Amino acid sequence: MGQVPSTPFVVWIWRGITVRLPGTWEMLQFSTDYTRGRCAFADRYQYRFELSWSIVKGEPDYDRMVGDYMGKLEREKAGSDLVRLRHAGWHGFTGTVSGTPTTRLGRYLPALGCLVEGVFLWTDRRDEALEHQVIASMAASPPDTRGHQRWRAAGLDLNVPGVAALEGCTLQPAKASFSFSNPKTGTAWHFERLGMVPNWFTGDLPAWLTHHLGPGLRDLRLTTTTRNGHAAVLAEASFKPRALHLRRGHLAANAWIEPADGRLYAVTVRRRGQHPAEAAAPGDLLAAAPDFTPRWTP
Amino acid sequence: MPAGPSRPVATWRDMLTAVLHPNLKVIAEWNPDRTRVTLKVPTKKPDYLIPPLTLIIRPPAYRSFVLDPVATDLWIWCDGKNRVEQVIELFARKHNLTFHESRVSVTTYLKELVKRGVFAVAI
Repeated sequence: MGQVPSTPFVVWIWRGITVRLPGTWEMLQFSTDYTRGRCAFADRYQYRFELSWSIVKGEPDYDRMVGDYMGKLEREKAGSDLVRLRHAGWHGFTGTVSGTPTTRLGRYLPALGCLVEGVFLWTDRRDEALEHQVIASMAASPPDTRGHQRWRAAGLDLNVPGVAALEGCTLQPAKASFSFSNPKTGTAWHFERLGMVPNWFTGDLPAWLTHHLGPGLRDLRLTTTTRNGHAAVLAEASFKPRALHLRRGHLAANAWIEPADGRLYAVTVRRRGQHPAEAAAPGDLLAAAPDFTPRWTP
Repeated sequence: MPAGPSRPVATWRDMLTAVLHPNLKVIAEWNPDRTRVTLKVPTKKPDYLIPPLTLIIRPPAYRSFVLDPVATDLWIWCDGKNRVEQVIELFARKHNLTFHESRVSVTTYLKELVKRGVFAVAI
């Protein structure tokens, strides 16, 4: 008992920001807001890291920004032993904030037009090596050659068309899902990762996918295929959008159980028209990221 | 620099070090293949139930709970020795979950079982 699972570091990509964190740090809070938001990561005992972003007009005056904030903490008696930091283009400070050893570093990322900040909450004292390792990994995640944006969180590695906007995200025990949509075309993408599979899965993947896609489909065609050497199910059908005046759309889905982590992955794309930027097959949009699931040692 | 949290960092260490003790008055009845357990938790007689009302209203001596497989595991693991952290780890190992996935599931179950008088918490 007490063996720490062997997952050294995991790459998270959220809202175009990449960060590489210890595998035992999990995201417990997140924001889906595009303009300004925050994600908080915790080890098993407490919050350890916060990632925040905020769209700003341009590169800020770091000296003034950091100085003002340090002054505010000192005036409010919330900070002590504060020391300015400059590290590889990141600006901030380290010290004790509200009784917790803290390092706070920020940087403007021009590719995102955002001021990005990383806040480390240390358990007893500052771990400079870890701090440098994490800060060095924090960067903008540019779109790939197809113009797809990458998201990587909670075991899902998504390559969503750049025109898609995040609509919602659910992170629950043994269930992670992301929904995207393009308001202009009405195309919707849904990604899901389900755990505790032996507890509820009957062993029939086509039947599960049919049930998962729900009613209202026409001409449903299911094909069993292989994906990276394991079985996967593809589904194609036409569907009726909710609004009465809209024509039937095309649905494509893909589901498989990843042998590396035993979780069920599913992606569904509902298109209402043919748009080149949204043409990627569902199987190309989602990859498993089993490094998020710990390898529990006996 | 936007205003950050100027509050103490939240920690759940105390919760993880707590130990759950099974209620000694609970009677556990296993099915023949020992895969499912029914717990009989003694009920407390309501204060208003005094004679002669007790001649008419006879509250049951026990409330029975049939535990599902997950809760059955928790009943076994919460033996008065394992800390909550250890129970969470056992659950995570069994179901291949991350620590916090397991923590949320286990604590939700345990809260319910404590509320129903199955376990008592020692901190």
